[in-house]
Amino acid sequence: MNQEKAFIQALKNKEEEAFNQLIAMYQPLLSRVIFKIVSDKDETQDLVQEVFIQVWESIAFFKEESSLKTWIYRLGINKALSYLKKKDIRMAISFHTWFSEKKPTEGLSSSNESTLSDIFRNEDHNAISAALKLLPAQQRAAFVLSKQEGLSNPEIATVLNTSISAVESLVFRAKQRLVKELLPYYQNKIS
Amino acid sequence: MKELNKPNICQMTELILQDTISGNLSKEQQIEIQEHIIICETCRLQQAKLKADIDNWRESSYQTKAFTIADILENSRKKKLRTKRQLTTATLFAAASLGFGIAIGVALDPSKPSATVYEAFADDYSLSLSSDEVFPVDFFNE
Repeated sequence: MNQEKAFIQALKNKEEEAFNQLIAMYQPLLSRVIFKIVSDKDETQDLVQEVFIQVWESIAFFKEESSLKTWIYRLGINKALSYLKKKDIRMAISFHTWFSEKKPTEGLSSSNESTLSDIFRNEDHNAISAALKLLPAQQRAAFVLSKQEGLSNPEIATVLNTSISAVESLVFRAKQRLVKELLPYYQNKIS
Repeated sequence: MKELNKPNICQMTELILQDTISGNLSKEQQIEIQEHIIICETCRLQQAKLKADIDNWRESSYQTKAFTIADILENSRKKKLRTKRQLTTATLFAAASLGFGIAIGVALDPSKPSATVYEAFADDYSLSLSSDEVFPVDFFNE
């Protein structure tokens, strides 16, 4: 614990060596989590760097109420979620969306098979990644933290800055939605 | 009962998906699945494929290129500079467009009588060839 405190103090003193150590420690974790949420390699590269810039700029305000790992998880998730929000807004105001028959949210909320097939056709991902893209951002983040990172519900609640019951609900709805989206795929794929 | 044009869809698929993804089935339901997959090859394949897909998804990861704090601070500085330049260019362009718009508006003011667009821009009366004040009607008759 004291070792972590000393490390945080070194970060607060803006010691470059400590920051390089921090990057080496948390870059794989952030890359993994952010990529699972945004599903875009170039954006993941930028967002991971932005998280470390944010750490550099705001480490002085880190109150040490949670662990450094949880705080970095939170910064990473927030970056990924705000990127998805901006992307949704950009899509909503784009001419393509205005003039296409489908509204942006319509495609995501519909549980028809063609939506999942479209994602498969465009990007050769596995079924779970493709189905995850159909989930709302918060549900996606909660599912990734739970299933991929193995975080407990209280930990996810701290990262997402929400209540434990809200996390339970997010994870439950994410799983239900995934079952719904994946059902036609697995039925048609194997039978 | 099977429809001719539809594939052979087993009703247990949903239960298998719920078991693998949610993991919150009752003991009885779990036993039901175990008993079913012994006799149903389709469901056995579905369960295996689903488990493999989940494992692949867990293991698949994208690793960003290695960097140091000096690299990202330099990138950030360059990005800020680029954004500042773009903002300045956009502001200057907006100001120029606004100025041009105002000039056109003033020139084409409907309250100001002018015969042609050319006249509207010609502040110098000597250029207003059709104006009677510059060339009185009887000017050529004299």
